[in-house]
Amino acid sequence: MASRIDNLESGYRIEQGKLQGAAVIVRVGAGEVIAVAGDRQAGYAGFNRALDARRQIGSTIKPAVYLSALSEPSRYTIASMIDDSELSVKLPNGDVWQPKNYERESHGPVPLYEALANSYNQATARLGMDVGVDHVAETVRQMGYQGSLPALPSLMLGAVAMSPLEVSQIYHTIAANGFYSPLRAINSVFTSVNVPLKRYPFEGEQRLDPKSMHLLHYALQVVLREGTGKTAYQRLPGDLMLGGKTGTTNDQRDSWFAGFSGNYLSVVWLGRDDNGMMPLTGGTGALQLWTDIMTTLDNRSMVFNQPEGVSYYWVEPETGLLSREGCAGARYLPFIDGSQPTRQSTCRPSAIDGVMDWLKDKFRW
Amino acid sequence: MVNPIPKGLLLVVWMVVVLVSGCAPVYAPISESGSTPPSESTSPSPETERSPPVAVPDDEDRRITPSEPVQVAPGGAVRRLLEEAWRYNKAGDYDRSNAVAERALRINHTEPEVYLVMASNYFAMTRLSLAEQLARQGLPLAGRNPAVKADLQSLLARISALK
Repeated sequence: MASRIDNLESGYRIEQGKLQGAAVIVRVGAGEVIAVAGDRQAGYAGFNRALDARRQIGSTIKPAVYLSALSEPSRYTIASMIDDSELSVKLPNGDVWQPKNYERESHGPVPLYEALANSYNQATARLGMDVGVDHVAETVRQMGYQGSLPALPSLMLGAVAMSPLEVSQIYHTIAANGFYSPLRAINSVFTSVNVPLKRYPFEGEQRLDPKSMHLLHYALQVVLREGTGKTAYQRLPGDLMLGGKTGTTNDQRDSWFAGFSGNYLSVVWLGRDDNGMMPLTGGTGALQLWTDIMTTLDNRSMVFNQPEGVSYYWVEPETGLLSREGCAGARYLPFIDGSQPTRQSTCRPSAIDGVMDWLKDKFRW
Repeated sequence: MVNPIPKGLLLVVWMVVVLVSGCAPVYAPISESGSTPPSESTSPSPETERSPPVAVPDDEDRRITPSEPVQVAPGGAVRRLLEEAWRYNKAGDYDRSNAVAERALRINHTEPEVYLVMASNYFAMTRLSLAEQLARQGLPLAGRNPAVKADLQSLLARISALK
């Protein structure tokens, strides 16, 4: 951690010693916190930023927005087209909220999974407003956040302050497929002669529908394969299935990454104690440290079993129509049964595919 | 003796190879100014949250597919812990049984029998709601383990009858 932060400071010309960081590592499923670093010097015994520093979480909240939408399969699927054009929302106090995309560009209609993978603010704000602030806030609570949440549209883009440990709780529920279990650092307390005094047992409940969680898990993998988190695979094995999300707050004051494999969840925050601006995003800052951490762990692929009630279809993302394997741009996407597209695109496999299939069949390639 | 491949077929194969190679996409890195990771001597100015691009091979490699539920007999350490947990369960020491089962959970949280033993303990402790949650957590993991699946279903039926 110390060396990564040193490198970021020198590489991005950040004043030496100004950049701080915190990280939490959790064992997925058991909900056990196995490591906490609350300072760029991991052994520092003072203020623990992982537990006590509450910072805006930015786009790290977006999975809650998308999960809220995906839990209404009659309205939204993973292939739904979301409008990423500019928008204005009039607030009760008369102010107008005009969220912008990070790169100040609009992308028009984009498939839902792509809006999350590329962390488009305008599409997310529009989706969240349609789903409803209350619904999104309830999803964040279901994921395990116990603090107060502003009932404002800006919640959709993470205008809420949390500690890295609180973000870890939320992402552990995501990593555990919607099964909430309170994170623990102590399992049992024993006397000096090994008699159990107190137990802190594993407990929990399934709070979020595994079918919509499966769709979210798909989209969070796209984040790491193709979206804002894809540099992770420059140093992690390509066959390791991972899910995660970047987070960058206004003026790049906070850099977050929260992501998980099948057995470990890591959440990383980078920022300045004076809440000053940094030239770092979630992808260029926290993700790099997250990748450092994950390369040292014995990771297994995330559990991505297809639940009952979810089926996969080839879909043409630009139109949302059913497609076929081999058609240009076709993607194999999961749908909650009954919500899949019903209209077929005109695509047929090309003649060359037909020849290739014939050759494969003839010579049993 | 192997039949010689007809010349006509060789021509088709050659055409296919030429066409395919001609259509193969070129994966030059997309320019996204300023988002390259820093080196000690550069002065980056990231302008996009998007991370530096990496070559994405093709649609086939981008396919994200569900993993097959793997059901193998629990490995050595997990097996031994489960046996110990069941022993405590049968002796009525449910707390200790859960403590041991949690050690198995730590090693492999996708092992359905871990949830079965914990759910059985909580059922015996009349904590029915938690027993049900744990049994339901184990059920989708028990795809190819009919014995554990049947035990989980039976436990859920008993919980349901008592609720």
